[in-house]
Amino acid sequence: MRTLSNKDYAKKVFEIVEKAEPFKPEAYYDPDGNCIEFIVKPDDFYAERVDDLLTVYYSEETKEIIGCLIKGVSAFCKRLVEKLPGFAFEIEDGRVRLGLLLRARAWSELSKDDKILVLTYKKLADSADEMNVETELCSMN
Amino acid sequence: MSKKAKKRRENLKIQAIDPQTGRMDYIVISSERLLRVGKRSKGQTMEAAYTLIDTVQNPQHIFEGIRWDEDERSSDVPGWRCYCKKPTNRYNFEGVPVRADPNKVFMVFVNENKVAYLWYWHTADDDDKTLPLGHAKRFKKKVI
Repeated sequence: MRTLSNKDYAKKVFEIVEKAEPFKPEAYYDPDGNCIEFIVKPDDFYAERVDDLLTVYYSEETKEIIGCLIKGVSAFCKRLVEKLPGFAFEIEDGRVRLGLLLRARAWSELSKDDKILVLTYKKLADSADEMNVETELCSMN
Repeated sequence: MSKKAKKRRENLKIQAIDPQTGRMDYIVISSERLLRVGKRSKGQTMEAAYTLIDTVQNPQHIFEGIRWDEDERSSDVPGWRCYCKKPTNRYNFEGVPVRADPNKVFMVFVNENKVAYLWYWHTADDDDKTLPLGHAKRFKKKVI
């Protein structure tokens, strides 16, 4: 793989993006970052890391929550299965409902004092449920 | 098609500064991620094409080592990095350059395989607007 000049790189980016399908809300597991990204709206956004797992995406325009990034997915899923063995039944063909994953985090690892954080997880879980979003998971082995 | 059979697109190799030597090395941009970003807006495509490059070639700060992600296999090995810059401009939804919010910085995350897997604007630190909010809590070492 040759190193591209900045100009050639920009050209390639536009070529790749031309093939992109229209936007729809989605969550996907990225093995390069061991993270799950969830995007509800295609707005320009800024991020804020709110705890050891979650980075929240806020719309630049409206300041509403429009997505999130869940880091450290493999360790989190292992912890979840240990704490809530029934969670394993919710994983089908390596996929899980994102809303359930977010709720499981809130149920098992947040404290009652984390009121704003709990509301943030709830808001994201509600959005994921409303849009029926599933995500692939990393291997749990 | 099974997950294993899914063909990965070729990634793009670009120049990025290596904080250990101070010289240009390279990183790889995930084409999969470019495709996903491209679905969102012209502005985010322009950021991937220009702001990302500027940040990894002319960063104001580079961090190594994550404090929070205890399972990040890569976070403590050489190569995992977060590049950070406070660009003057950003691109709006239509891809038009506009003045960047003075309270935001641009961050690019690179794993131990030199793959840039994530980039975004983040709220800046209250005391130093060139640093991301919470940097001391998130990162082990600031190498630049």
